[in-house]
Amino acid sequence: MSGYILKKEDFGKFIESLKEEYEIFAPVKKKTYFVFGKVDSAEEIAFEFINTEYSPTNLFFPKKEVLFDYNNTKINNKKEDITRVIFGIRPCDVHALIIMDTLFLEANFEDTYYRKKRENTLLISLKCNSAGENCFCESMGTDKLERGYDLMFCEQGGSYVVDIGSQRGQKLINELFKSTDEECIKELHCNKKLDMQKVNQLEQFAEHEGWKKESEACLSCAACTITCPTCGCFDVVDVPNLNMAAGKRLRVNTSCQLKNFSEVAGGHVFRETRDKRFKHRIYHKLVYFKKQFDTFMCVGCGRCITNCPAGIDMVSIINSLK
Amino acid sequence: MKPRVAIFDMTSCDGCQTTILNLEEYLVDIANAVDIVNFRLGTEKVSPGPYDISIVEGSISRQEEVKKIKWIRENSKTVIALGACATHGGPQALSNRLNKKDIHKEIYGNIVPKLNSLDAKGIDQYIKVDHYIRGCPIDKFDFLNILKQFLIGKIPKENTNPVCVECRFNENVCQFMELGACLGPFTYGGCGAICPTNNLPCDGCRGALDDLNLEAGIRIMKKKNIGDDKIKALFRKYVPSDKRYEKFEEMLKNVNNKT
Ligand code: SF4
Ligand code: SF4
Ligand code: SF4
Ligand code: SF4
Ligand code: SF4
Repeated sequence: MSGYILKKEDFGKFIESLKEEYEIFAPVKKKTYFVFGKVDSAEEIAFEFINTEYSPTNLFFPKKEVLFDYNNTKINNKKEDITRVIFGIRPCDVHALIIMDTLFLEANFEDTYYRKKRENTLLISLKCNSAGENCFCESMGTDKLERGYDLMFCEQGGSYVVDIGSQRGQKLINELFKSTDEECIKELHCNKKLDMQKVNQLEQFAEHEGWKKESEACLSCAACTITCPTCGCFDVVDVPNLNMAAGKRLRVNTSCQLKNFSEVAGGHVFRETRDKRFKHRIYHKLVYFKKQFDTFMCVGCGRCITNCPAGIDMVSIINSLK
Repeated sequence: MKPRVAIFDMTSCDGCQTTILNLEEYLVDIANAVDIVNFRLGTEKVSPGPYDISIVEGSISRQEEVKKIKWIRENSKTVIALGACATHGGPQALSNRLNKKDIHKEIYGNIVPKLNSLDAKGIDQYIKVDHYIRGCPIDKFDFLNILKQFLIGKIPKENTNPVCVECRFNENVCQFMELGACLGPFTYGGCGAICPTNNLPCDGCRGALDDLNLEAGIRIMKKKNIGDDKIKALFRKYVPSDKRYEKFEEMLKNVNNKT
């Protein structure tokens, strides 16, 4: 597809033009962090982020979501007709949504709540100018993005070079954009590299004593999975009203790092010890999911490293397995 | 017949019972669903047992309370511990580490009344407790939720997640990583991580988690240059009557020796 160019000085007007039809979400500053938040103007967008501490997956798979409420026999499904644009989603995080699609759209069960949000949301991806210290997207092959976006912005001098990824994206192009032959010439290199040879041998290391040793530093706080853009585990909770006739049903994100995660009726816990839970996350990301869906469940965004209070870094752990 | 619910207090500040009264918009519904037969703050009614559900606020801190809590157990189908004092001793358990005579003298001067005081402990040190409503004070919705589960005949499930879970749900800046002093990873969740969400580190008021990795936590605090006294004070505030606290001093020494 032919490309377009948008002058930075027109970016504010572009956001204004989107506002007529869409709610806009973009990276914003939250004290020392970057998170995705609703914005009303271009000034609110934080451009100096490498990636956000919390992932845009939260806009599709919220941490706590009311699935429906009920009153006697009447079930009231929540309707979400808001159309949204996410501006500034990084290529790795678009890859994360493609992985979530595998889970919520293409596996045996379709998740209507997730689907609705995916269908109602346009993605304007923003290429990275540089990689963060914990990014290893290059190893995962998620630094490049061929599909999954509606528009792709690439900062070049005083303009953005814009690539169209879908018909929906094409419709966002207005008189502010000019066609161009210019191409985005960004090459990204990550200092952090995951040894993929080791990853492919992980099954051989399943009983390695390293897992126990490394897990001794782990607090089982679950920050690594809660902030991971590809973790989709949840629990379903009913909240009745006091009159018992009405109430609501919630879906709540949960984590394999928690002891209660693998608890079954009768109180038995399958992954009781910390090392088992610790290893499970890494193996789910890089072994089990791959076997099931032929793709890794990790996009190398580095959030599980950035957000770990214990400084646990699965990349260096895997790389040093012997 | 509506279940008969009794609310009792031991050594406490009444804060958790007051929180129940703060459930204003639900009080009518609560009154419709259960028969409150004993609630010092809410009604003058006092009826004899047996009770379907007894909710107990306060720690056991005096000889008389040992008798009372045993009587409550014998006369109740279900016993719920209400708030930090009842679940694990509360702030008054801080005095357990000090000499009782000195404290009494400090407070009462030379004429010390007959107190029969004991180390302040959670009620489960004396009786079997069926459920815990945690916090200092409790979260009123936590209370409501647990009550509802009892009403539909469910055994309420304790929230055994650390505070961090809801804190991360709220997309907060992690105080532990910034300051090295937040007890979220060691503390029972369920409060909505209200303190870190409002820029205060978690004080640990809901008590020490069962799935605790204290030693790893201490190590991180030391790395963040938090001094031993501060670490002790942090952990001491709410869990001094926890048996694992005895090991805590040992752990701190261990970590110091290794680093
Ligand atoms: S974030 Fe770190 S400390 Fe917390 S559960 Fe994950 S690995 Fe363990
Ligand atoms: S099992 Fe663990 S690692 Fe896998 S998706 Fe669930 S929370 Fe994430
Ligand atoms: S496992 Fe870590 S690096 Fe991989 S996608 Fe999840 S948070 Fe990102
Ligand atoms: S601020 Fe405290 S409660 Fe929140 S994630 Fe960090 S350690 Fe956990
Ligand atoms: S954040 Fe910690 S101190 Fe605050 S209410 Fe929750 S458990 Fe208590």
